[in-house]
Amino acid sequence: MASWCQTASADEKVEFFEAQIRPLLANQCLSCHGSDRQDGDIRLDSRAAILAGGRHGTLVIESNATSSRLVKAVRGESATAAPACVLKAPAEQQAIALWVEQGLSWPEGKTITDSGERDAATRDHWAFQPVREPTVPGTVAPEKIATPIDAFVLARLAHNQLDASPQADRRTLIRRASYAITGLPPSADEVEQFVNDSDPEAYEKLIDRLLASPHYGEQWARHWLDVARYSDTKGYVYAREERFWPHAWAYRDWIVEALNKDLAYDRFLLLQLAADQVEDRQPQDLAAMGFLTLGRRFLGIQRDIIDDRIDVVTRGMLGLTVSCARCHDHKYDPIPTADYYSLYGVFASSQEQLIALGDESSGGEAFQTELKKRRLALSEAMLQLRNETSKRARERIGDYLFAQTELAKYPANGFDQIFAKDDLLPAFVYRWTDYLEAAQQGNDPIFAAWHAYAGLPEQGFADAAANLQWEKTKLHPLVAKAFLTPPASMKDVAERYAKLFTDPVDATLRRVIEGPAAPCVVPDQPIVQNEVFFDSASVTKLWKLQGEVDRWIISAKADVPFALAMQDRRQPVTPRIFVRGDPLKRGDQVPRQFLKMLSGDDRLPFKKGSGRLEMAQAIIDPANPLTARVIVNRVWTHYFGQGLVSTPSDFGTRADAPSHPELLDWLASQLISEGWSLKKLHRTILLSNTFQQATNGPADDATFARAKELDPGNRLLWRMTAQRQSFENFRDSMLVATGQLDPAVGGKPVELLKPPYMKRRTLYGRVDRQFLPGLLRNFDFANPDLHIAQRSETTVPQQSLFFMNHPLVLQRARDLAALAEKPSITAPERVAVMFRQVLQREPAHVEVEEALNMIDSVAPIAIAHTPPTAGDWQYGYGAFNDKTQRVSAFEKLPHFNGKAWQGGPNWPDAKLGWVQLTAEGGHPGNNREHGAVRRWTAPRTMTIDVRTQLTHEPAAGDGIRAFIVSSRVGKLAAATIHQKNIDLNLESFQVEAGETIDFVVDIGEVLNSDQYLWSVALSSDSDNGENSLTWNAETDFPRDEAALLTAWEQLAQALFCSNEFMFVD
Amino acid sequence: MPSPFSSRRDLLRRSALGLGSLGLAGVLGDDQLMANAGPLAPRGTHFPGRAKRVIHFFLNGGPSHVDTFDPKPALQKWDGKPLDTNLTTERKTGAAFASPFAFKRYGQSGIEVSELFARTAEHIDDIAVVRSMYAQVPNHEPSLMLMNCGDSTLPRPSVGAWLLYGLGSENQNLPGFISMCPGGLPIKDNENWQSAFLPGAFQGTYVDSQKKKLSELIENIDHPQISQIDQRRQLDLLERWNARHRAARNDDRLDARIHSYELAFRMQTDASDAFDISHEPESIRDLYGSEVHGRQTLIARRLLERGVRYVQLWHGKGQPWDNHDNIETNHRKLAGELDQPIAALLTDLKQRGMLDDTLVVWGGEFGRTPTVELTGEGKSKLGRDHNHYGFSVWMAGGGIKGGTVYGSTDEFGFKAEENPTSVHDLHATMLHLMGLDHRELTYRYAGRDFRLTDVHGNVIRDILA
Repeated sequence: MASWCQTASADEKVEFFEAQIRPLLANQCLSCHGSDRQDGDIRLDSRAAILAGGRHGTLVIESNATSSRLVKAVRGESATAAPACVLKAPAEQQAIALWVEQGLSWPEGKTITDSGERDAATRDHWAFQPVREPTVPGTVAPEKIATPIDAFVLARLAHNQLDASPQADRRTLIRRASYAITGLPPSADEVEQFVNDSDPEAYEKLIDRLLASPHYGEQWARHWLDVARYSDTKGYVYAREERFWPHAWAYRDWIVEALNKDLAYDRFLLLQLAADQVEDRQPQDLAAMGFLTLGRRFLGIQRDIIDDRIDVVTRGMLGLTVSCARCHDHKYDPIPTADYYSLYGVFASSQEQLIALGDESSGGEAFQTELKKRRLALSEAMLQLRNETSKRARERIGDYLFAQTELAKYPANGFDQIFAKDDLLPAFVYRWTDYLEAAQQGNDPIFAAWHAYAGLPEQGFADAAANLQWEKTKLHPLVAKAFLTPPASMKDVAERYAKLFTDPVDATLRRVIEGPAAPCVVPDQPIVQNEVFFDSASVTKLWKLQGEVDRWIISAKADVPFALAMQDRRQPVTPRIFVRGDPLKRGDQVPRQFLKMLSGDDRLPFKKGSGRLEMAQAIIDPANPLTARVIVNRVWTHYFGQGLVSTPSDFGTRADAPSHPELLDWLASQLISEGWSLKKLHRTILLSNTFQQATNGPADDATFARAKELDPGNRLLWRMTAQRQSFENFRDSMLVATGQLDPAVGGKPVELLKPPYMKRRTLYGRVDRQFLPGLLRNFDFANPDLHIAQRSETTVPQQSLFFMNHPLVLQRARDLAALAEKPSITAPERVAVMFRQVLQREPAHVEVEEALNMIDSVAPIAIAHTPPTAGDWQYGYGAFNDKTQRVSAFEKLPHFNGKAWQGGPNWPDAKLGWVQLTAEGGHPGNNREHGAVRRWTAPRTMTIDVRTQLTHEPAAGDGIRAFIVSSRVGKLAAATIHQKNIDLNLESFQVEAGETIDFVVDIGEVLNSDQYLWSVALSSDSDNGENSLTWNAETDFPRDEAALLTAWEQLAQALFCSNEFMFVD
Repeated sequence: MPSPFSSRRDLLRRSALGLGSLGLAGVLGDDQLMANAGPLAPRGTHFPGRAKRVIHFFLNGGPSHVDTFDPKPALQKWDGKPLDTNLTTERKTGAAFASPFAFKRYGQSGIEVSELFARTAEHIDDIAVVRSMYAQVPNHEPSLMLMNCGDSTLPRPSVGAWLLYGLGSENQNLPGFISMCPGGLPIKDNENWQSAFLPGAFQGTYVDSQKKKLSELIENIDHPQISQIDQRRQLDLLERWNARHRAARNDDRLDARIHSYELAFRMQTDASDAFDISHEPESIRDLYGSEVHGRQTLIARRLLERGVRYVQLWHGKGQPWDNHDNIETNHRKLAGELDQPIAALLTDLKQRGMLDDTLVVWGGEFGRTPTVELTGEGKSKLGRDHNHYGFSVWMAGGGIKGGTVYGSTDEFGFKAEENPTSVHDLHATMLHLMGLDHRELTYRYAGRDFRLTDVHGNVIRDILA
């Protein structure tokens, strides 16, 4: 190194600076030490600035680079430097050290600038280069190559003196391929058949069969739904808006079908962005635009809804984090804020439309008639309120104009205030602002006077106005007439304009206040977009009517599909930059156009409507360097657990370089040349030896150890990584194991985690983003609020608790045990059936033995549950008699359902009503004659302590009355409670043999929400030489032996809990 | 009672993971971090923190500051007269509305607190009141999101999720972040304790503290269809199978899942113990009171004692403190439910030596107007509208300089005037007290390093001990 320093020519030094140092400074240092910010008073954008040092003194010591603070900082050895100063790569640290050592060579007199440099540095970023079609490496022995993928992977491995792992066994392969392609396990028979298949093409046939399965579309649709932040609900929408989407499931089904029929990926994207403008579309293709419309509602705030759409499109399809440019130019990628707002304009120029996908008859006549009625009610109310509101806005032109002089008073659009009909609405105020600005730019003759006066100072306005000189010919004659005398104030100006606009006869004046572009007209849009133009009462009314429409569709008995599509607005919007993302800080206007970095120098604004179609076409352009790379990497990620690019939705400059750049490009170019067929891409991957490797790596320990040391993260793919099952896959697999999976494809969502548990694939479970069960998030289910590039993989005890205790798992365990229970089946064979169902293999001898050992040890325990004290309790009903202070007419409850004593199999019972007793509490009967009575009878004379705690939870109703009553002395304690809990205790109470103590609950004044919990524990003294005894109402309560898991069911559950079930090799 | 955390264990984990092993995710890769140590394994701080755990009383709906911790004598003088203000709030308000509650000086510091929180006020010398908070808009939903997650509208992780991500939890047998709300969910539901783009393991666990049965308090904590002995035997069999499966493979993730069954088994008993306040002596139960807020506060103390990182106590379903009308009756009732439990907690923590390293936070999503709310017809509703321009929160315990007042609102209590303090400042301070630099606690998502405080936030140094 030292010799290079001494011998390097000046040219070489400059080259070194340009190649190594400039990008480092520009990308890693200047955001804190550049022209905008100088943390620690340090600037690193010119040689002079570096030599000047910072607050803590000099930065460089040329003679001794290693002691320089700059070098220490990038190495993380400086006490004063921030952690962000540390350069990640040792090579980068070394480059800086070398550069300091050789004298900070710097091109003469130049300063590097943040953004200019960024452009230069990012121009060369690998992901932004055109996709090449690399030559398949020819260095690998042909017999090792199944598809060209192997050539790329093996070449990389060989380069690192590593080799791939041997092929996995057939049992592993069929399980791996089935799960990866369909999300479902093969049957045990399929496994046996495949294992014994002598056909040399057996594997290829297996892959083709699996790719042709309708379950392929389901499995891969779920992957895409993570990208699309899929949810069946809108998120928080206040109480006024229907919170369920009418269209989400139709979008989901469209994705499944598109994948199953192998719709070309470019068209797959095109339809999701702009199906409304694709001429040769099928009618149901409109559903595809659910991709855009099913995001969160963000309290109805348009700028956030649009931001979400920009994010899902750019990260989802392009691997670009364009949303980062919402507030400032992208820090790392060449995406200026202006580009963000160019796309913003595309979405602001589009609006939602709810479209039926079926024909006129779908859902039946009654459905259609009522739907028409509801839609009509909505559109009529909308028209009427739009007219009324526009009229009001027209009548208050003077106020809206004057509002322009005090804009600070008006918040940005969003629900901030409750507006009455006579309030000025901020949305109109800002509509006028836009209108006036456009008028000014266009030298509009009507508002020329306004702008002239608005430029005058407030102090001395009248004088200035009187002296104002202008070419009156530039004014509209009526305006000129109105200002023949100078105005006294802006208020005066506003009022004169208001007068001009009161029922004007003149056509030019009329145009200002009528017609779709007029600033005092509520735009013709759905309520979600135009609500800001209405007072609060009207908003509520319109949402209610919109809700009626939505609810009718949602509650339809048949699956009537609807699309929430987008269409272009009649008047496209020219977007304006919000400076630092603040909608009140209005910056320059920008045209609607595609991203500069992907358009080249000859970028043109979009021409057609919103530009959405043109945006879509730019995304799917085969020359776009990102689209194909991003999708092949997504597919790769799902197969191998990590992508060739490790950040599937960020291909920007901060992304790590691909592990196999040529392979990535080869796959991308193949995808395009094969007509964007995803199934062909799948096939190429699945048939590769790389995919078929064993997970265990090389057989001999030394080779394994070396591979592990050189590449612990398996980036080079020297083995396969086992896949942990997603929540969807393991739940579906349980149903397959019990033979209960309903394989129907498509349809409305179904409740997933509440009994009766549905038997359909988890894909069809309702995803409610507002009330997403914590359980799903615990299993790393994709958060439906955000575009999810890759699910996290965490292990927490809550997951294990689910497997151990959730009724859904318990039910599957029971069903599996039942399935394995056949007449005259031997115990070992029963074990084997379960293994085959769950793990698709025969159990080993030792596993059978262990299983049977457990079975044997469980059996006798189940009987020993009933404690001896249980016989001292009776469960009945009766009345507490105020006069006698005793319980009268006690009767035992006739029916025990396994968990509760009650009047009959149905609860409430036709005769005895609601009265019920459970282990923990109960419910009183319908009147005070039917109090719930838990009766304890003293087996002998003794002294007892009674400790009880009574709880009544519901807010509804008026609560309950409770009594503790002795048959000998009458009432011992009483309470009336509502939404409370209290202790009712007795100390050292003497009971005689045969005496009863009743724990009675009856209703308050009314029967309403009277269920209660009452824990009761009695304990006897140990005097009289007798042993102390305790009674506990809960543990003494009869247990339903049938409800307990049998030994076989416990065994079945253990199989579901196993790692072998959860991880697919 | 000694501190619940043995210093030896703390020492061990620090040396094992290394000081400042934060942002670990960035170095190791999130998945590796999760797989190796478990997402909730304790992690080091950026610098020694003053507090180890947080309890946050969330008075959802918006408690009125001018009726609790921000006395405004000028309102008495101007009562019934219009104020010269152009600050708009959600609804129309009218004239100045004097507080119906009496204020009194408490403690050495002599800070004035209203009669609503008279018992809490006995602890004022341990409390720092921030009287100059402000939020962004006068509506519940965005303000709840701002206070809990640092952003009004976009899905962002909550404070508790960030703390779990940064610090892990001291007890692997309990959820590390628990939100209790009696009777149902507050407005905005689970969003208030979401983990957003952070892994799901960091989300808050919701507990309906009105419920009493353990199985209704914590999801999947048990099932009655198996005895503990049988379940143990079942897990033993599972462990043997898993061990054999593991031996033939080379994958650390398998160990983590094997281990998690053991944790889960222990959680079944530990959680039931933590939530069972009948283990507390009667004197302690009496101190907190037997009503639901007393109970949930006492449960919270038991959780904190066991190493739970962050407990949030909501007042109740919906937005109970949203008293647009009859504030005198309504606020009196609500404060009556909370004052005793809060005072009890402060007393209890102190006598256990836990107050020194427990951060207690009190507040709502915003305050209320000093002017009276009007009906559509312009009549007084004897209540107050939302006020995001100025409101109070207070903190006590771990690292807080007690007996302090920071900042102030204007003469009437409408707007923060001296030392205006943003919610980001509050969050920065909370993280600071926990030993975390809010600028350094980041998570890479969607191409950006996200922070709880976004690009804002300054630690409120003046209230630090």
